[in-house]
Amino acid sequence: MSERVWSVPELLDARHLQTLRRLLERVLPYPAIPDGPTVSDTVAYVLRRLEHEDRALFGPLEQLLERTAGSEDDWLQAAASTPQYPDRGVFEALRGWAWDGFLADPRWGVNRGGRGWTHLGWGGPPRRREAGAGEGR
Amino acid sequence: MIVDDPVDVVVVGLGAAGGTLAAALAARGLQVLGLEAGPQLDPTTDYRDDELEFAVDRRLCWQEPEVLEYEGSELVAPWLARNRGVGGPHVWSGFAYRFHPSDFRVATEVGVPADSSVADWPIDYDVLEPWYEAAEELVGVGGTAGNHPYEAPRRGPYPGPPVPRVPGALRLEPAARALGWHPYQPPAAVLGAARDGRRACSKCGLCTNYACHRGAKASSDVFALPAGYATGRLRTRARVLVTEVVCDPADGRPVAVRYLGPDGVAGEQPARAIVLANNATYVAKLLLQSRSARHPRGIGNASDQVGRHLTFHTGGVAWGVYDEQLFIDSGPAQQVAVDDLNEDRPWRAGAGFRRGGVLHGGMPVSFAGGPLTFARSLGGVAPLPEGVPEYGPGLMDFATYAYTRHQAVYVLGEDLPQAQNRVVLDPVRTDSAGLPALRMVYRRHPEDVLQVDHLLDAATRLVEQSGAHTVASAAAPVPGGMFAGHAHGTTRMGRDAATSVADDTGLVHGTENLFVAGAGLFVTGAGLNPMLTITALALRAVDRIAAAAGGD
Ligand SMILES: Cc1cc2nc3c(=O)[nH]c(=O)nc-3n(C[C@H](O)[C@H](O)[C@H](O)COP(=O)(O)OP(=O)(O)OC[C@H]3O[C@@H](n4cnc5c(N)ncnc54)[C@H](O)[C@@H]3O)c2cc1C
Repeated sequence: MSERVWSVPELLDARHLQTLRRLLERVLPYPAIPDGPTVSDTVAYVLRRLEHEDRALFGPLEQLLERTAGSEDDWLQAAASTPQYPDRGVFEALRGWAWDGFLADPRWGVNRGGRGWTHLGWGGPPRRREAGAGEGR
Repeated sequence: MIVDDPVDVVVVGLGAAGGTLAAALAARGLQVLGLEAGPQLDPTTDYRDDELEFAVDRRLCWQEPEVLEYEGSELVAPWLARNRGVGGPHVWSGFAYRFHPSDFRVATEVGVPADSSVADWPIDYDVLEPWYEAAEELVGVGGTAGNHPYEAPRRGPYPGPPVPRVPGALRLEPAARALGWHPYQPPAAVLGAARDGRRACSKCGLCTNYACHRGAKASSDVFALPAGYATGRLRTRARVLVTEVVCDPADGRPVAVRYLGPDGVAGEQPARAIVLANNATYVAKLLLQSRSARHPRGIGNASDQVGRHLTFHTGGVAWGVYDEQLFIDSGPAQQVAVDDLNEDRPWRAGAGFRRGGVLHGGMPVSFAGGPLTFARSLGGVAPLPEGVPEYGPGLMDFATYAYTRHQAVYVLGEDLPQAQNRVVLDPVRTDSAGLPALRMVYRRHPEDVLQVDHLLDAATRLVEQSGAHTVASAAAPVPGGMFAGHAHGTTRMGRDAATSVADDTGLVHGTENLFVAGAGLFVTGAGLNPMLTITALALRAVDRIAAAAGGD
C-alpha cells in the first residue's frame, strides 16, 4: 500500500464503526468457517483501504454511516434494487470490500488461512502452488 | 532543461509496437533509445499472483483520469485498460489473430454505410502476409492451421502448438457445431511448448491483468528487447513521460521529443527519426499536444484528422452455470472461438449490419483470474442471473456454487468508424502530469447497436446449448473493447493527407522523419484482436524508419 497519509480510525467514531460492521455483515454474510474469514478483519481492512487506495470513498462512506445507523437493512434494499440510486457507488464498494475480506490474499490481513478460497473450491494462488508452496486442486 | 546527446531513433512507448521496433532498428545498426512512461518491471513485486493487487487494483495498468463523452453523457474514469512498463504488453490476454483479407477492404466488400467513415486500407492482406508470418515467429504464436473455414490464408503451420485446453472448451465445441457453426481453438501468443528460453504455459489462469512469470505469454521484453540489447545499440529508459514532439521553428521539421524524467525534471531528446508508439489514443494525444507556430493544431494535424475515426470494438458477455465443475480458472483464454458471425457473413444472411465479430468462449466470466476476481465481477461485468440477489446470503451461496461451475462466452464485434468519434484534449481536466486529460468522444453507429444484439443473442444460445442450467447476458455499458485495451483509428493510414494522418508505414504526412505505430493506423478495426496486426505493421515499417534515420 502507498504511504500512509491520514488516520481513518481517528476520523470515524465508535458508532460509525458499528454501522460499517453491520453493513458489511449484511451485504455479504460470511459462512461460519472455523478459523476462517471474519468481519472484524474486514472492517480493519476497509479502514486501511480508506487511508490509501480508496481514499476518495471516505467522504461518501462517512456520510452514509452518519445517515444509516440503525436503518442498514432499508438502505441496502434501496441501494441494491435501484441501479441509479445516488449511493449505488458506495453499495458496490461495500460489496467489493466484503468480497476482499472473504477472498483476497491473506497477506492483506483478511481471508484467514485462505479458507475463503477453499470454501469456493480454489486451491490458492496457482503460481505459488507451482513453486511447491501448497496443494494443487 | 537537460538536452541529451542525439540518437538515430527515439521510440516513445515500449509496448507491442515500440518494443518490436526498438529492437529491430537496433539490429539495423542504428543507435536507438526507447523512452517508456511506465516502470521497469521488477519480478519480485510485479510478477506476483495476488488478485487484489493485479486484478482489482490493476497495478500494471495506467490509472489516468480519462473523459468519455458517450452518447452525449460525460463520464470520468480511467476508462482504457492500458499496459504500462518497459517491454509490454504485460497485462494482455494473448489472442494473436491475423485479420481476414476482407478486413482490409471493407468499403469494397460492403460499401460505406451512411454516417460512417468506412474506407479500404491502403494495403491489402497479401502485402501484410509475410509480416504476419514474421510477427508470429517473433512473438511465438501457437495454434492449429486450417482449423476453421474462415481462417486468413497462410503459407505454413503456426510456429508453436496450441495452448492446453480446459474442460469448458470441450462443452462449447459440440454446442457450437450443433448450432451450425465451425468452432476452433484461436491462436495464442502463449506458449504451448518451451521456446527461445521461455517456458511453456502452466495453466495458472492468471493471464489478463498479470505479467507472466514464465515468459509463456508474449511481451516485448521477452520476444524482442533482449535481441536489441544484445546489439549494444539499444538503450531504454523507464518512467520517462514524453510530452511533446519538438520541431525546428525555422522549417517545422521534428527534431526531438520533450519529456518529464523520473525525477520530474524536463529534458529533450534529439533524434534523426522519431517513432510514437505509445498506444493509439495516447499517440493522438501526443500529436495534439505538439503545437507550435508551424503546427498550430498539433503536428500531423494540418487536415484535422488526428484522433478521428476512433473505434474500440463492441462487446458483451453471456455466461452460464452448469451442474458439473468445469474449473474454468485453470487455463489461458484461448479455448474456443466462433467466426461464423464475423466479417459480412450475418449481412449476407440478411442481418441489418454489415460487419460482425467473433465469439470467444471457455474463460471465466471475469475473463481471467481466481475467485476474488469472479466474485467481484458479480453484478458488475457479470450480469446476475434472474433470481440471484445483489447482496446477502443468496449472493454468497450463488458465488460459492457457481465459481467452479461456470464459464463465459464473450462478444467482440467490429464497430464502424465515424469521423466524429475521436480523441481530443480535454479543455478543462488534466492528467497526473498536469497536461490536458484524454477526452474520447464516441457514439455508436446504428449498425453497431444491431450487431451487438445479434452477437449477444448468439453467445447466449451457445451457452444454453452447451448445457448451462442458468444463463445471464448483457452488452457492455460502454464500448467493450475499452476494457480489453482495444482502440484503433486515431492516426489513420492512407494515401491522401486530407483524409488520413500517416502513410502505410506510419510516416506522418508532411514530415520525413516522424512515425506513428500501433492500432491508431488501422483504417477499420476488424472483428478480431489487434496485437498481431500491430506487430506485423511495426515489422513492415522497419525499413522505412531505418531509411529516415540514415541507416541502411
Ligand atoms: C487487459 C488487456 C487485454 C488485452 N488482450 C489482448 C489480446 O488478447 N489480444 C490482442 O491482440 N490485444 C489485446 N490487448 C490489446 C493490446 O495489448 C494492445 O492493442 C497493444 O498492446 C497495443 O500495442 P501498442 O504498442 O500500440 O501499445 P502498448 O502495448 O499499450 O504500449 C504503449 C506503451 O507506451 C507507454 N506510454 C504511454 N504514453 C507514453 C508517453 N507519453 N511517453 C512514454 N511512454 C508512454 C505505455 O506505458 C506503454 O508501455 C489487451 C489489452 C489489455 C489492456
